[in-house]
Amino acid sequence: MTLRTPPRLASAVLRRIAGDDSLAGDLEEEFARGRSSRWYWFQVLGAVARKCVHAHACAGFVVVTAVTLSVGATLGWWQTRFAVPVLLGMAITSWKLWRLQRTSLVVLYVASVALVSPYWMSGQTEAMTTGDRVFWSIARILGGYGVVGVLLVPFLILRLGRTGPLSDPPIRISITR
Amino acid sequence: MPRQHLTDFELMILLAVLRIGDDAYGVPIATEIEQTAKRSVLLGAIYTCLDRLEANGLVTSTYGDPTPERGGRAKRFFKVTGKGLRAVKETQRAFTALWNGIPELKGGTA
Repeated sequence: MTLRTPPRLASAVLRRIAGDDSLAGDLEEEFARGRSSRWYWFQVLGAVARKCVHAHACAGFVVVTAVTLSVGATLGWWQTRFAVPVLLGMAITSWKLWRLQRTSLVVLYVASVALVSPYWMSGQTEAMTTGDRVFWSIARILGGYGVVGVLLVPFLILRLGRTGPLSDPPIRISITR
Repeated sequence: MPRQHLTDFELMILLAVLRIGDDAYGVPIATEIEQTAKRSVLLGAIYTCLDRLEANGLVTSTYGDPTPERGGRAKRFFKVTGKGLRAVKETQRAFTALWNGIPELKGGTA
């Protein structure tokens, strides 16, 4: 008998973020019994969302805030006020990166910061040609996503640093009676 | 002060574990709740809740042998502890006490 293989991407997401072997086994078992790919994805996304929210009590708040601020930035409502959360995010991340010294995270973070720059440079659009406006609109959207990155990357680093692949292996104590 | 009573979801999970017995792991627990309580649940939610219950000493877990249909992963079996059983009884007592004396709920019809 050939066992059905669940969607690879969903399995990778589950393994990387949720990291629960028992749950992954249960989902695979159910999928092999005939559950749909949609069901599998739904379970995976639910597990990931729960894991993120339960990993840090403030995670949900951080995500909602980051998305809200990003939408605001994209629409161009706030200008300099944005500097406060962005700079705070930069400060936290820089400190953690300095301690963790992970190249991949540094690259990810620098990319996020680089995306924020066009947003700050695209303040005045009144006296621009249509071509310039289109260019700066795209730059603003990218900048908005950069803001999300700047605000979310610290959270990801803290999450991965505490309990995920960036953390030290847990100390196991066995008690013999 | 620690919480004295269980939430409805915690109670459902503990009751499902008690009903299933020795073979209580994620899939049967979810099936039991879906079939008996007619409530659809995420497996991830069950594990999050069971982790919390285990941290509070209401259940214990042990790992079985890895099987091919689970991609070589082991089942995690759960058992309700004495403390868990007491928590279930106490929650039942509290619910029953609240239930009594409500005329609208008498006779089984709303």
